[in-house]
Amino acid sequence: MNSESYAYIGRKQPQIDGLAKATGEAKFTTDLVLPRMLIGKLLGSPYPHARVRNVDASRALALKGVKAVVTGKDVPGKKYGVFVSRMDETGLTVKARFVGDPVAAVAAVDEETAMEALGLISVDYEILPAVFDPEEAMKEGAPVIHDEYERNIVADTHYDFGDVEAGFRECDHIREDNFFSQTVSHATLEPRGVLADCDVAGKLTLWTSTQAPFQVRRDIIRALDIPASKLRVIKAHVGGGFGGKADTYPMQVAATLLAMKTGRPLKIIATREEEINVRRRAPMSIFTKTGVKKDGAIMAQYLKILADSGAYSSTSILMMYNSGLTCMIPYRIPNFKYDGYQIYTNKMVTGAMRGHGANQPRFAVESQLDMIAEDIGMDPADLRLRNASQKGDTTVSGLHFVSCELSRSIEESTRNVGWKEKRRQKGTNRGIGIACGGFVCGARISGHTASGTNIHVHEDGGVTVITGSADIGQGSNSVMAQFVAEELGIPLSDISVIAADTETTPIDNGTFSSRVTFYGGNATLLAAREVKQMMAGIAATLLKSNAEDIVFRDKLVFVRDDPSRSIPFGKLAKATEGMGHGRLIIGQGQWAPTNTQFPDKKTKWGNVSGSYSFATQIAEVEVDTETGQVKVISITIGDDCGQVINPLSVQGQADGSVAMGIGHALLEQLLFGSNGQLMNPSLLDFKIPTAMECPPTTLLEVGTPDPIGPYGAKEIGEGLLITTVPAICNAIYNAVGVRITELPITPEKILKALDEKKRREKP
Amino acid sequence: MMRLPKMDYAAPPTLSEVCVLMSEQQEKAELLAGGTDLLPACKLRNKQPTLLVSLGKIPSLKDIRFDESEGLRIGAMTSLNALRYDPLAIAHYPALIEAAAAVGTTQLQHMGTLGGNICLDTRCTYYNQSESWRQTRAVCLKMGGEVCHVVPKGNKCYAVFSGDMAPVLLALDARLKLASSAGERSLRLSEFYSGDGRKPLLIRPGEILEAVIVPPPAGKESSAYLKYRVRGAIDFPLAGVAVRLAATADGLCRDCSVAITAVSSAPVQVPEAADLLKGKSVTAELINKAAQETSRAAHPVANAFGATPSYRRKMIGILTRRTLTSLAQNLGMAVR
Amino acid sequence: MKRRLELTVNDECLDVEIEPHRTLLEVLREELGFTGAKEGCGLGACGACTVLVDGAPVLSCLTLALEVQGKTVTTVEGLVKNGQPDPVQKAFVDHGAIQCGFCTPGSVMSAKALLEKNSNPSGQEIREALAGNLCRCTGYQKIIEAVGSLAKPR
Ligand SMILES: Cc1cc2nc3c(=O)[nH]c(=O)nc-3n(C[C@H](O)[C@H](O)[C@H](O)COP(=O)(O)OP(=O)(O)OC[C@H]3O[C@@H](n4cnc5c(N)ncnc54)[C@H](O)[C@@H]3O)c2cc1C
Ligand code: SF4
Ligand code: FES
Ligand code: FES
Repeated sequence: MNSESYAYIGRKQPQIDGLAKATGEAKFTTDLVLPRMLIGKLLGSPYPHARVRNVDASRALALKGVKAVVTGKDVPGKKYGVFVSRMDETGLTVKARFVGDPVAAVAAVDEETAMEALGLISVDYEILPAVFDPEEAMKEGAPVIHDEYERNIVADTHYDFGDVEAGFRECDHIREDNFFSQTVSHATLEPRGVLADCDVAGKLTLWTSTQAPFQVRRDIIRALDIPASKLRVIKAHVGGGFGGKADTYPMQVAATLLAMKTGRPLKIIATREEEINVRRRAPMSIFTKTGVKKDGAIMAQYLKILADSGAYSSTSILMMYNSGLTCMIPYRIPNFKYDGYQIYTNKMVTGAMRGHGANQPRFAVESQLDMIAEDIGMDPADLRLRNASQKGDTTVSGLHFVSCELSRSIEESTRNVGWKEKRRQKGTNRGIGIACGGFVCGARISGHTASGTNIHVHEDGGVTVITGSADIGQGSNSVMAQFVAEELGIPLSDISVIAADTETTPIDNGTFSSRVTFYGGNATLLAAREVKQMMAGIAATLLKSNAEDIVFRDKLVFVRDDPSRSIPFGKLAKATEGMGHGRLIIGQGQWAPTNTQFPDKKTKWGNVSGSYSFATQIAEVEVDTETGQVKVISITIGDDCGQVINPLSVQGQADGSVAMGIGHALLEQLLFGSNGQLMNPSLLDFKIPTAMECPPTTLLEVGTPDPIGPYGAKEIGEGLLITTVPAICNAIYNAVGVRITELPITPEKILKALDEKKRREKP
Repeated sequence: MMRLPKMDYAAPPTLSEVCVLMSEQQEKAELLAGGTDLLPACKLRNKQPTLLVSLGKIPSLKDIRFDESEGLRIGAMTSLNALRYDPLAIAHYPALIEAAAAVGTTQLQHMGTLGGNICLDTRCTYYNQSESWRQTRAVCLKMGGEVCHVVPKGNKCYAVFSGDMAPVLLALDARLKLASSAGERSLRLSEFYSGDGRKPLLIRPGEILEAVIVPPPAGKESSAYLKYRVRGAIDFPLAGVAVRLAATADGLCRDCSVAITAVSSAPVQVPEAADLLKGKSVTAELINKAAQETSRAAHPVANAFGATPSYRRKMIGILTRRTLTSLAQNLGMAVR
Repeated sequence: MKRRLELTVNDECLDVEIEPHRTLLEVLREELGFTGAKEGCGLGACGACTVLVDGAPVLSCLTLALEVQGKTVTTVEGLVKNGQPDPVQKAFVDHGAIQCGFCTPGSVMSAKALLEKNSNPSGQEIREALAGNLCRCTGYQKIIEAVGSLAKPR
């Protein structure tokens, strides 16, 4: 069936909860209130590295309205964290590892009392030497941040595929370059928050802003040593995540602990300052060596990456794995070697963020490819076309592409922008640049097990979809509803979605790694088809036909060759329940790809994702050579995300990625003081783009339905962001001939580079 | 949520009552105009007044009047949005409009007043932070302590004045009308700023800024304001230049005034730059010289996010050249 | 000591007893139950708390509640009339201008204020009017389209 004949797939669908959000009805964690609710606040360490000798909370507890104070000593359980092999967090700590690391928490009748109480807690610290720079932290004799990790190395990942040395020997041209990608904040508009409730029987319920309620449950039961069945975690409306809310955060642990202790509901909502201080994108220093033949064929590539982990590990091992893995996606690289290190420092924690480890090396490699293209006198688009991955390819690292339209995406996007003509324009300070990339649809490295969906059909034909997939604003609830609508031929308005509740929905690992549509979508399809099969059987009896010939469309169920023989969907639902053995109309689906392998422990070989997305991005910029200011004029994307399910949300993901990419390329940077303290924890000083910075984007969909994705869909949420930054870098070079290798590209860096260029060219 | 400290509130209906209240309360009370600078400072506990005295109930403070001889008289409580769309201001003082439109965001322009903008507190990366944030360091001069984290040697506070309206009003040679229980006084805006980051205004305790008076334009003249900031909205200026330029009938520079903001603890006029042009035929070379002079008058230090001091200084020069050039062209002065 | 605040919120005359240091955002959310307006920063830099006071878009996080004594406040909830969403709200939904929706109440109010004042805003005017409403999800394009779709050529 092609997309023309779909009723819902491939058509613009507003989010099913759009109106709730537009009218203020949608309830985010901060909007939730329970009777007798207390307010909690966390006390952060003022020192980057210090042991808590003693906490004296007596003055705080004496304050009217203060109900409890808890500290690191009150956390009874084991360390938790994203990866079993790297569990290093306790929620409240007895050893502070960055400025702001929570050491105590208070419960009070209102926020003001809680704040006052924080000021009355006296903590006796033993100040320890601190280290802030990953390179320093790796040296022998540097302060040890976690005892188990020598030289503070929390992750080291190595790939060696093919024969890199031999590959380089075959090259006509080799380049070695260094790059640096700065650290930035997710800056979701909604700050983190949690509401915890504890009933008399000790059963705990958490409503929280999270991408992964099941992960939160896993971590909290560990940290607080409570049975899994005693903790229910429900995702509220979530105001954006971008990877930052994939981790369990200290507020969630503290709120649970305080609710247990006080027996009252308790809410903690982060201020913006507290919010920014939880997670950030890892800064990376990247050394890249790439060798090509005269005709541009890449023969070998080597990357060495040094990443800052901050005070805890979070997703470190996955991030470092991703940094290498994603280098294998867009191009055919016969020999590839990679050394990735992530290092603890006494600064706030780095973790997953949209693109998760792919963005930084992509920026480096795509920049370097343009440099190589210039060196060998080749058009950068042609160079990419020459090396582009193709459908059916298996990379030296074992990734296998069952669908891939990268070449087409290069061709279509360059044609659309008038690439050749624009590259030739000289003396305008305008320039155009290209970058390619690709991403996984759920990397099957640890934890990424199946997703599940249950579907109930009510007697009037209304449908409830119960899915583990967590909608964090990207609109996955709407996509799931769309799949069901298509299968059952009913409008989205007849479908409601219940999602991401550890007690009532199927288990799901969470929203990250661009897995939701791919995994959750397939699970939902299976559930819908189970329901459909059951109803089709009854319809066949009623309409005197065969189940295979029954069609579900426009709220009708009819016989394919004779649509006049039909029954309304609602009636059929009622009939199905009443007929035969009076069975309930319930469908169940669970899904994980079967063509993946867990990467080999030693070599890292393995196909980690069922499919891969591919994209080409072209940026057009204008540079003011006097001030160094860069204006992004337009972004054009050739995208292969397989079959588009909802053009509205696909375009939305593209626009949002581009905006975030512009921020990463030009504006954003978290800064740290000499004491490791975050200097700009505010939306005034951490500068995300406004409506003034974001140009229109043109999205060209060049994909074909993927054989594995639901209705042929692949991912779009992360893969597009990773190419915006290098496309802008390359466009700037094309405009004014300067190459900035350290992000963000500030006007000052441009001016400095222009000056150097002038000096170089003079003699 | 970010919470305000406990404070009392009064909103007297007349200016004289405000004056009385302020003279009684003095230091412990703060005047509340739009609140867009004061309330963040209270939330961050930079300021903890016990009483907020609102000027919001005094309609006369929102008047805008134009008089051929006196010029434009703008009540201190005029919102930047009202100013931005005021036909009198639009007709006579383009720079005022440009500056008002460049402040923060639409919302801030609706809330923020001209008086509040002129009386803006100075800013610093170590000062505009929450109380708990600041507790990791010694208390700095501006908060009543003894050190400066930006320029550790010396005992001066370099917090930077970052208002957009003041430079324009300086270039337009505006006067302020101040009221207090002791009576009224009027002074030139240039006499209003102390240059001390700690206490940037030479306003006397209990004094209220009542109105700003901008002299009428004389003959062929125009004004312009350019601001450098990181984003196209929200951000305070990192450098700002206002210029008023007047032409003679035969296209020479009759009068000129240049003022800069966001590069020191006070907005300042740069007569050294303006004097270069006065009475001259405005050439590109002269403009460049004036730009150099202006940038020499800028003394930024490393206490603002988004650009280094040297870049901000450089931008002062570039913005000066750009404003002068476009103004000269608009006035039909041949720039060679 | 608590003070009495009389105001009109979403066409309803209300009076509440509040402490004088409360912001309008606190009163709307915590006293009156209008949780549509959000706190994204609490310091004037994000626009998530935007509401209309006498028709003007203001940041409720930086508005002292007692300052709106006797004034008319409209929140995102108040745009729904007789169960029907405002055209601005509908346009946001239909154009995909909403992803997570946390910025939406503020953006909708800014858009509403703009359109009330200027029924035919240009693209640039729309960008400027919404530049004070940060959104991390949409990249603003769909928001600008949604507002643009309501522009009525004179
Ligand atoms: C995110 C953000 C961005 C901003 N961006 C900019 C920007 O780009 N450019 C810019 O210039 N400003 C900016 N501001 C600051 C502020 O919004 C404006 O300067 C505004 O004009 C201040 O006016 P107000 O009425 O709100 O002042 P208020 O906060 O009410 O007052 C400021 C100070 O002046 C005193 N005061 C006010 N009126 C009088 C009076 N009549 N007599 C005596 N004293 C008085 C007050 O007591 C207070 O100390 C920004 C603020 C924020 C929060
Ligand atoms: S310049 Fe120095 S004294 Fe002044 S606010 Fe900044 S740190 Fe404090
Ligand atoms: S919450 Fe009011 S502007 Fe951010
Ligand atoms: S829709 Fe998420 S911040 Fe705007």
